Order: sequence, then C-alpha cells, then structure tokens
Amino acid sequence: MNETELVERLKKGDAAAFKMIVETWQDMVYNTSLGIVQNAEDAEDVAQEVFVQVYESVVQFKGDSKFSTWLYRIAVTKSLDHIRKKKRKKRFAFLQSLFGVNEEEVHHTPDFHHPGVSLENKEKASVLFKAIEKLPDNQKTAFVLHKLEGLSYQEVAEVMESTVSSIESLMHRAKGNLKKILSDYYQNLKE
Amino acid sequence: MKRPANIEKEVEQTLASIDSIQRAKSNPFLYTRIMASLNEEEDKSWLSIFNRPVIALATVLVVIIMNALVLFESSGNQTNPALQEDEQIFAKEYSYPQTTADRFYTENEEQP
Repeated sequence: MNETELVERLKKGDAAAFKMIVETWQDMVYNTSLGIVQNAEDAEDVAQEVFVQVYESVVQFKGDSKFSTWLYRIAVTKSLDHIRKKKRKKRFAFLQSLFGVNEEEVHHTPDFHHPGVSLENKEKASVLFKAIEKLPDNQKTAFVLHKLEGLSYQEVAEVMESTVSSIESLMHRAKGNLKKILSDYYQNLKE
Repeated sequence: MKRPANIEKEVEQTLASIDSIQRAKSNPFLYTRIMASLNEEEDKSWLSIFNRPVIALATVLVVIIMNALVLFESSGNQTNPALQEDEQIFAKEYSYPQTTADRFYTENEEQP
C-alpha cells in the first residue's frame, strides 16, 4: 500500500492504516525529535504527541507535499515547543529557588548520548550535541534534519518551507557557530 | 577532559563525530501509548466543553434560573387558596394535623 492510499484510509478513520503509519514513520519522528530535545523520554512524549496530532488533523493534509514532509514539520514544531516549555519551567523553578519557595536544587541537564553514535565517537558527539543545543531554532532544525536524518538541502527546504539557498546559508551559519562554540569549549578546558 | 593540543583539529573531529550516526529506534510500544492517549482524550472531550468560559457561565446561569423558578413556584403554591383548601379537606378526612404547630403538639402528646 502506498503513502497516498494509507493517508486516504486514515482520513476515513481506518485504525489499521493508522497503525501502519505509526509503524512506518515512528523511528523517523523519534530520531528527529531526539536530535532536537536531546532526551529519550521527552523525545518519546513528543513522538506520541506528533502521532496524536496526525490522527486528529489528517483531514487537513491536502497532499501538497509528501506525507513524510508534513510529519517532519509537525515533529520539528512539537520538539521546539517542548524545549520552550521546558525552559519556561526551569526558569520558574530557578526563580522559586531564589525566593526559597522551592528548596529543591535546580538540576542541570545531564550529558546526552545519542544511541546511534559509535562508541569511539561517544564523548565527542556528546560535546557536539551540547553545542547544537545552543544554536538558534532554525539553524538547529536544519542541522538536525541534514546531519541526523540525512535529508538533502532540497528536502530540508521543503520541511522548513524555505529555499535551497537559504538552507545552504543556514547550514553555513550553523557550522560557523558550532565551530566557535566548540573552540571556546576546548579552550576553557584545563591544561 | 583536558585541553587538547590542537584545538582546531579537535573541533573538526568533534563536528565529524556524527557523520556515521545511525537512526535511533523508538519504543516498540509507541503505538499502544498513542492509542491509550487517544482514548483518554476521547473520554475527556465531552467534559472539556465546560472549560470554555461562555459555556461555563451559561451553565451557571441556567442552574440559577432553575433554582429561582423552583423557589418561585413553591412560594406561589403556598399562597394559592384553592390548594390550601384541598390540603385542609385532605387533612380533615384523614385526621392529620393541619399546621406544623398542630403536628408538634400531636406528636408530643402524652399517651394515656
């Protein structure tokens, strides 16, 4: 069964089609989200939210783009929203701790280890993910889609509803920023 | 971690560390979780209508109006002479005390 047939069946409320859609694209959605939120549990929650939205708003999918492109868009939006909510919560918890309302310690995020990284690159990749976290949203999105999901610049442009040239420019800036962040990081390490 | 001797080289190696990254696998029970979440939302959906301020206000108003109507109706019945007369006939027929005060004395009368 092809993509269009699956979507049409889901629009008619076919549960089997929905199951097939989840099984086909769950790793893609999870991996994208994991690259952005950098936490396995959070990425799972986001993936769940993505498919719930797909189920509820599939009628709005007009087929102007590929179904996977539409899924990527939802995954990226939900992941970035998740980060914003988490930051807001952290800020609030920090304020509470300042005023002594919340005596609990404000926890710092632990190092993130992507399960798809080889063992010899584990430490360096963890440093890189910390740097990716500091990128602006659009640079982070382009970098994750291109590097983690292996999308071409053309595909990234479709997901981000942009042009190939602006994605090239985004990637160039992302790499430049990463180099700067990493360089600062290594320079601040003790000798 | 110690400061590397060649920072530029280290940065390049760090950037290349995810070049051969594999796609992460999601939880095999994700579909079950999604279905549970969808069912939960369905159960909540009919109650969520009351979260809308207009609906909540309208519901409160309806309850107040219904209460007012019931109060108005019951006070109206008490002053209706036709009904009172019916009650008295009924009470006489079954030797039932007609007022609350009568009922009090009847209930507290000492039995011989």
